[in-house]
Amino acid sequence: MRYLIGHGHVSALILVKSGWALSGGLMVMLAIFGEQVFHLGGQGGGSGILYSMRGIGAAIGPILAWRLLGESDREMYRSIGLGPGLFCDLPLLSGLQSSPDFGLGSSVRYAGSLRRFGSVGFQHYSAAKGGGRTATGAGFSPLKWPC
Amino acid sequence: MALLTLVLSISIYLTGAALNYGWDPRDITVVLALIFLLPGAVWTIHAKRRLRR
Repeated sequence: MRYLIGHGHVSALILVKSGWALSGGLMVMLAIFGEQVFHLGGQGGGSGILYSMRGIGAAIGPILAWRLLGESDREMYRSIGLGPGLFCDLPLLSGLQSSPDFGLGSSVRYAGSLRRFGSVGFQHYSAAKGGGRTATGAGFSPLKWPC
Repeated sequence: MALLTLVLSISIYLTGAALNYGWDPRDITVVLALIFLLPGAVWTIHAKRRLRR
């Protein structure tokens, strides 16, 4: 605690990651949307597609972030704030969609996940600036830029 | 990690409770998505201040 109080940027990194968990309930909503909201015919298939799209988003997100934002510390720092903004509008649109049709649009929204967009910046920055303590404290292995 | 897990569990519990209470899943999703903006907004303000220095 004393370390965190003395190092504002480290505590900010830890708090922003915990802040993302505020919307952890969205994980539950993937199953609910797959089962109850978007009708795909069979049971359970919808949530499988949504989770798969989430995985695709996690794979594509870091590459897009790298291509679009670059890899300097300054850009990484900014990308952390951009991640929630991008992630938020995708489930938001799904929530506002009135049609029960599953469709490509619905899945792509959850691919949303471009969610890793900000996470990559977080992991890179915490590993570079926060040292091992941030990475360990936040529960991340200090992953480096993927490319 | 402890804080992350704690916040995550509270969020998931409240989501489940809201579903049991009969809230529409779409409404819950919209609320969660809007809540998700909070940490991003706070971080953006923090980052702007820090990068200005």
